[in-house]
Amino acid sequence: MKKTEITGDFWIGIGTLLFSVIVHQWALEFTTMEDVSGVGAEVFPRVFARALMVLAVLLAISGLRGDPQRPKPSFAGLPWAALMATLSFAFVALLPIFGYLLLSPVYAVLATTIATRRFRVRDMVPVLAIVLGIYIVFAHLLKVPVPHGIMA
Amino acid sequence: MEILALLAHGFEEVATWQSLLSIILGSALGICIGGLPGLNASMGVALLLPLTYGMTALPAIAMLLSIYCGAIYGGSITAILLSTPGTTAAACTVFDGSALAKKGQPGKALSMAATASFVGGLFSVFVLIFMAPPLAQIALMFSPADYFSLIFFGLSIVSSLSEDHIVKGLMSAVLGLLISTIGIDIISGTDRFTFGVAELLNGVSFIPALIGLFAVSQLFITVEKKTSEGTEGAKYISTAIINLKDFLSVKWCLVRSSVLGTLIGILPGAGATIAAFIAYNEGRRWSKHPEEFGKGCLEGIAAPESANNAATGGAMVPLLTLGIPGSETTAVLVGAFMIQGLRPGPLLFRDNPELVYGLFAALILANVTFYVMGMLGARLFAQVSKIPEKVLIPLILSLAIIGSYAEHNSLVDVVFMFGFAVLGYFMRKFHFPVAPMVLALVLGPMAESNLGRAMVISDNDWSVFYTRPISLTFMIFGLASLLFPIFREIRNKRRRESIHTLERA
Repeated sequence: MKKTEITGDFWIGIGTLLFSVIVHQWALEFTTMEDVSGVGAEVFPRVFARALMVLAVLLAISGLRGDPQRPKPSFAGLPWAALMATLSFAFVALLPIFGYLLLSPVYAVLATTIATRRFRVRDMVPVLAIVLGIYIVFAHLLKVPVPHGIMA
Repeated sequence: MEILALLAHGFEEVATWQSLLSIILGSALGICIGGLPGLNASMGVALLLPLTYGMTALPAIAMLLSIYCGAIYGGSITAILLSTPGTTAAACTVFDGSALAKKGQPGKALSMAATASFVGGLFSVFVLIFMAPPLAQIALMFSPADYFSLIFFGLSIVSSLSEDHIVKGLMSAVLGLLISTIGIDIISGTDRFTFGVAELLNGVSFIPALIGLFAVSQLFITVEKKTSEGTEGAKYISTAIINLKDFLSVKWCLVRSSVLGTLIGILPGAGATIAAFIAYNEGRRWSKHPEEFGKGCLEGIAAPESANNAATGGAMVPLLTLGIPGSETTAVLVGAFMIQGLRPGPLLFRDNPELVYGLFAALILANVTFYVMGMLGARLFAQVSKIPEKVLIPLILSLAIIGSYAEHNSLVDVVFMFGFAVLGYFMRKFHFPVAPMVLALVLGPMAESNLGRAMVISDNDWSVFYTRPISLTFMIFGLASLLFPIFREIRNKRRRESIHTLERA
């Protein structure tokens, strides 16, 4: 008897199925206005949620069968990606306080350090030039507003 | 013949230093603006409109038209070099443009994009000149039901965008459609999935989603491994541009995509983005080598680029003939006309024919100008591929942050951008294609609003979608486009299984 190998697709399918059920139930709370149009606020979300349920079941079934030719995803580098993501969200959280001009060089330097796994002053010179250049082009030449923070 | 005489007179009108300089400056600015993620053509025209206050009508509007054409082309530059489309119309160009650049041929990709944009733009200008009035009447025949069917046709290409694993591609698209329902429902005014957050009332903007899913998610994957000191793999980067043989290999693709782009651009509200996606899908369907799409084939660049620039001329048809702006950018152009004391529409042809044909001549020159700039710049822009990753990473991040912030001056969009980047990271890891989600985010709101309007107009009669010939035609095309790749995948899977069984036996 062939051994069934549960792949990540199975769990993604199950998770998506649960998610789509929650969305479907939530959508039932939206007001309907069927006397104006046959398409109330809840129709599209419910239709898409049901479609997602069907697809999730199909994915879960294919996840049970497995696909020997498809390489399994590797998460060996996940800590570095997670660090970059955390840094990015921290940057956004601090942006209203410190402003783009003060914070973006720090962010860019840290991001480059994460990417290259080391800090070298000469690597940071072009990084800072780029960040400053983009700021000047957007904020001063194109007059696109950027968060100023404490520099306002 | 009268039209040709008027056009010749139009060239005489535009052959002044002020007009020619306006066209050159407008094209250059447009390319720069289109190349910056987060700034699109309509924003560029609006930002640079004040520059035209002191000008007379022809050079002023010629400059804005040049910005429009240049910006639509310019979006392909960052799409190819940084996998970040500068405008949503260049989203399709990422698939093959970026792949060809990664193969070490950015010059070829950039020159193909410039050539295709030029061909598409020029084609649509000639259609505008010779066929504007009857085409405008066709555009008026489209009802919301027809628009919905057209958008359904546009969405149906998700099957062909995800042939590696169709279920995952469809899940990506449906999830994108669900996300597009966040915000206020346009028909009923009900807020959906907003969690009480005021910034979500307008829904999720697709520019942060585009940047996050395409560019920043790839960046998160790149930082998993230590970046190299030089360029990626230090492989040879060719700056060679396309030759005649390359051009001839895509000639039919260019013709087909230019026609599609022009026709779709004529429809108010349809726009360059949907034109690009439909042209990409049709380009793949008619290609002799559809398996090459997504891997850096020239047709995959030619199709969307010629269509999106063809849509610019198409969008001018309802504007000039009926006074109806067909897109965001042409809506800004209406303002430009009014500043000059003009009103676009049928009376403009009667009262200011020399201006109208001067604008036609300006459009032709604008297309030539950005083509020359694009071809001359292709080898120069291709040098970006030689920039080390450690410098590219802060460049992409800076552009991504400001690009996401610029649209609504909202930090929530930047949060969304990083959120989509995290989602895109996991999608890539588990082999879910991101392109269908982007397509769904762009087209989902349009589909829902047109469906609602169609139901209101038809008094909830669903037969309107198959009794109207235009709607029925697009519905049939859409179903075929959606189902054909699925059946092909099932057939191929059965063939692989039977071969595998025979081998084991």
